[in-house]
Amino acid sequence: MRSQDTGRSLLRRLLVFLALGALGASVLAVETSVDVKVRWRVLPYQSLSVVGSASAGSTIELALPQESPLGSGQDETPRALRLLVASNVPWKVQIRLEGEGISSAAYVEARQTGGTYVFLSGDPVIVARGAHGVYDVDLDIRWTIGGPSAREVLQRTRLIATILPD
Amino acid sequence: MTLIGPAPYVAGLTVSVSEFDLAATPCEQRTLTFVVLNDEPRSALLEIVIVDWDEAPDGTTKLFPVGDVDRSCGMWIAVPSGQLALAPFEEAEVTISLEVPPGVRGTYWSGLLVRAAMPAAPAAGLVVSREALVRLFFTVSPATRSTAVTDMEVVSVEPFSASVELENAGETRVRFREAIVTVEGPARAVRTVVLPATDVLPGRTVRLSTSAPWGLAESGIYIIRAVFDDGGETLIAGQIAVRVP
Repeated sequence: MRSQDTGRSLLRRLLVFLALGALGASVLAVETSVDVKVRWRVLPYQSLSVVGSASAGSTIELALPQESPLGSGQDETPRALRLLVASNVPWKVQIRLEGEGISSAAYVEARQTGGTYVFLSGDPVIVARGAHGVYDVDLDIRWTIGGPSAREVLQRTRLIATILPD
Repeated sequence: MTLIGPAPYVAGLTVSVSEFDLAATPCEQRTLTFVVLNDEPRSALLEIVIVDWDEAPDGTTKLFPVGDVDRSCGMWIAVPSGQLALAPFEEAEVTISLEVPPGVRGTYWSGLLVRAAMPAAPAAGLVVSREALVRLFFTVSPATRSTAVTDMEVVSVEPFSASVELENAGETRVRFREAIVTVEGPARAVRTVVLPATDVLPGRTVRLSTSAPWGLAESGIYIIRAVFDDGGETLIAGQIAVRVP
């Protein structure tokens, strides 16, 4: 009888031990199932650098063609400008001209090297676009000169390159 | 022999945020910040101008004075006045304050043009400057969503190319991140071509084009479907049937 009691006692202890173990395990399970979510949003940044051969203040200055073709005719400056773009979202670079009298005295065209020339005016045109990443874009400039006042008109004109999300 | 030419001049500009796309409530006041970096080895004078903008059919973004575009939020915004003088490689935090007027709903948009101040002195050549457009979108709830495929056209049979017109008649900006065109041929074979991801602003229509390296070679009837997914509960779709003789 005594050994039976001892056996029951041992069995009870074992059951209690197992129950406590199961409880502990469940507590641990609850603890380890806690789900921590960390969220962040990468903000879209963009960077544009214009590289040229001369500067004017904090802007670039593009040399005009020599005097002889300015009387009339056409001249081309291959790789006149270089655009360095860094963006973590799809991007585009548009260029436009600011100034008066540009279309009557002279025409300026631009293209990404190897592409097709487009006329520049006050309305923007897209000269380069891409997915996220770092890009190095060469631009050719073509000048069509319509008269002797062209140099003065071009000196009062601004070429603006704008980077923006695409 | 090594020829060394003049060092190139670099005029750089970086904005830490190129687009804010935020939910707002009527009469809400808030501030937003972003950082402008003078990304060049010389001092720079920058200015920040509030502008309106809109997308042209050719994909260019045109700039307008504030108030020229319907659904402009340019008048809700105030930016620091004056020019921002930055030393070489210096950055500055720009704070925008915003007050949403009462009674508005849907998506409103404008932009901040961060640009280099132009030199006052006459130039010897053509001055080239750079600027960044920070786009701002505020969507005020509640607002209606209503987008539909309004036109589809097969531009070319061999190789296959098609264009799809999407109209946003609702009040909110809709961003389609996934879009496909499926072509089901006479033999029930289905081929798929991907359309570019696109945004459609409220009240605007966009036309998207796609092309495939394959063509509609067999004669018979083809069912062509365009399906757009904006990540919401419903898909936007349209379909046409064409007969290839």
